[in-house]
Amino acid sequence: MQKLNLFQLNADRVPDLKEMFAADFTPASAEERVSATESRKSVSYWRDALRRFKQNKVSMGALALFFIIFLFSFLGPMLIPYNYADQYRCSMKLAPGEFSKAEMTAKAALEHADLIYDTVLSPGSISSLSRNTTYWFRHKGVTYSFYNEKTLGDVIVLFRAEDADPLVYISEKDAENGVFDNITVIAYSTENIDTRAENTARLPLIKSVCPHVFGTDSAGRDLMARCMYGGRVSLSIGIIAALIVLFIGSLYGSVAGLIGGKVDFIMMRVVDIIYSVPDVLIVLLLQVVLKDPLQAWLDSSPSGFARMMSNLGVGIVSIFITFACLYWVGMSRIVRGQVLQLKSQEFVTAATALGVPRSRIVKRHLLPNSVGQLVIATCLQIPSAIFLESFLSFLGLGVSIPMTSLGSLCSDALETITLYPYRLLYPGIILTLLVLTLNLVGDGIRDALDPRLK
Amino acid sequence: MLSYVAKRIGVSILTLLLIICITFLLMNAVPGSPFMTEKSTPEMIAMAEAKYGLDKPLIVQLWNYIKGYFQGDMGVSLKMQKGTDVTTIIFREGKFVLSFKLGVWAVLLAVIVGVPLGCIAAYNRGSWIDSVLRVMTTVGVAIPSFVLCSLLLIYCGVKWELLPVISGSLTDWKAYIAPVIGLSFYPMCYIAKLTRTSMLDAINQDYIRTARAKGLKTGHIIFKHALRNCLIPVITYLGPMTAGIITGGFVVEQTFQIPGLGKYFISSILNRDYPIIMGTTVVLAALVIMMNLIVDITYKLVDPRISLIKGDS
Repeated sequence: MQKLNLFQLNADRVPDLKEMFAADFTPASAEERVSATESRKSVSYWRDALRRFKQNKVSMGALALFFIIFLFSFLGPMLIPYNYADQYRCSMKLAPGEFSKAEMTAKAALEHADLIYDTVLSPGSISSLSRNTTYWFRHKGVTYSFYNEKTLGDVIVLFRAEDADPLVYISEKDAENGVFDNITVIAYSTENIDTRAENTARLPLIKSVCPHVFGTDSAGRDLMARCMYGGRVSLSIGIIAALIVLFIGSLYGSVAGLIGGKVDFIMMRVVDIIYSVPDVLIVLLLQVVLKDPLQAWLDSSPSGFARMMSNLGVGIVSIFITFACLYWVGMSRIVRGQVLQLKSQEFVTAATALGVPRSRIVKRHLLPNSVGQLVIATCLQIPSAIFLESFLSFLGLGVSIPMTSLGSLCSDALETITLYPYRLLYPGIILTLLVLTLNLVGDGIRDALDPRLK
Repeated sequence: MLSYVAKRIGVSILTLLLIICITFLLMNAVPGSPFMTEKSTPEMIAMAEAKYGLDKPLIVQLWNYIKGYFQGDMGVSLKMQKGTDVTTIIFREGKFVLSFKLGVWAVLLAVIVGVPLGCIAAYNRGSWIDSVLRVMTTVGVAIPSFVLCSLLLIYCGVKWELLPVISGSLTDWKAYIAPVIGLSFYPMCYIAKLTRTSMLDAINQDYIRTARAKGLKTGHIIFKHALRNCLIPVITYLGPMTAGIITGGFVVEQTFQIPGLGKYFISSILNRDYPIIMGTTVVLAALVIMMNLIVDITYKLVDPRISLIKGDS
């Protein structure tokens, strides 16, 4: 390499730049060109973190398991015919995989028919099967209706596969014995079809009988459907609570850190005091006290927000409120620490010296640099929120029936634990796996985003 | 040091006052009068309120309430044991003692088993023992206490018939086993994790190498030299652990049908007996705050370096 001539700043004569450059620069050789070009694309922080996360086998396994639970909770309810709130008659207290008598009949009948209309399996049908009610259903473009006969107490209305027209019914007894010969055609009418009578009830079509994989509870609700729904509730509460904590905590912490001085001192003393308050006790208190006024407010307020909250139920809303009141302090400490640490760094000083406004410093320098910490803290907040919710629900203070969560499922199961231990095992295992996988994923994200903390 | 202790005591009292204020205000936020029944007329309610001083301005009531607490008067039960002093219910009927005994056993078990487990894991780092302990502690901090308690109940109690299903008033030593395990498993695993991490830090220090070079036995090095230094995180954890054991007690007493303070607290919540809820909350909160105070002070005494680093700020 040739040595460049230095500019003589205090020289009398301004150097002729053109002349100097022509003399001092030589084109790079092929070798030099190779070494000078970027051989690999520079790896961004996030890409690097992703690579580190992928290498972590435990976290990847946990993530996969978490996705399975996630799909189970959010897609599962679409795949099974049972609803979490419906009480299926004749299906009370079934063991996992067991069929009720009526379901067995339906299964046997299904071998002979292509579709059945069932008056036994459908929820609450015994009460609706009154004498005054006309039942109706549509098959192959024809609407059939019939009255409840005296004999129609425990029946399955079915069509034979060969000839769909005659409406037949079998009694449970016949089906149990496998006798389908003495199928009786019951009276049905095609009159008044188009004008649906006032007291009509539609019969549900049953194409197949789905097993109760986890069994049913004492009221005949399908436990798997409830576990799915409970998982959904628990997960949603965990994520939303973590976001609430993230929002309030980072706002408070960053304000304290940015302003500094006396404001910071006072704000942090408030945090100290809230931090030393035994949280669960206050949470329990709030749960009790909030319930009635909240219910009253939700019932009376016409706003859309209140409607939405009302759908969630008072229990869940008060869990959110308690999180908003108490749990943000940890997050605010983390954020304040980050802000203080970053504030004293050279690049922020440089930006300040250049006259960059404070809002832009926050946006360009402070936020991107503390995102990692925020992600870690939020991820680890989710399982602890789920833990707390299940704890409250277990004590009977969280979500209320017919809404359910994994904790309240365990709580319900406790009464009959000696007879039906599996009712507690399934939600308990799902809850444990959920918390376990979230913990492991959170640890993995922490290790990936901030290897120094490992 | 003295100023630090004074400051910590000050903050603790402030916190306790705050909690008393919060509970008082929350109690007042509940709509309706505690004396409202189907039969009572407005005059009767007014009379009853005058008797208990509920007709005075809120701030005076608050002052009386706080004064009452510091004199050991926590009000009177409204529903569950109508007319009985809350102090009597909590302290004189054995509920507090029962829960306290359970809690102390759980703390002892958690520390006595957790710390050695952490040491063993750290010492056998990378071996199968470490892996087994790691899986155990990871699952242990993820499993909710009620699931664990129920598992103990199903298997030890019902299926294998090893332990009584209902622990009752803990008259038999066997009755203690399942509740104490259920209560201490989470803190035990957490302590084991903490100890392992700090032990691994300590093992790589120079003074351990020196001790090793001097030919001291491994057990001696681990338990005499290294352990002292890694107990600090464990001591720090004792404060949150007390809170955890108290809340865990609610679940354990519910599951094993132990008539302790926790179970009573929960039923008072479900029954909406506000003075009992408030009284219990304040007592338990005071316990936690006291424990935090003790831990903070001990922690400073145990490791003089901490005051050097943080100063008395």
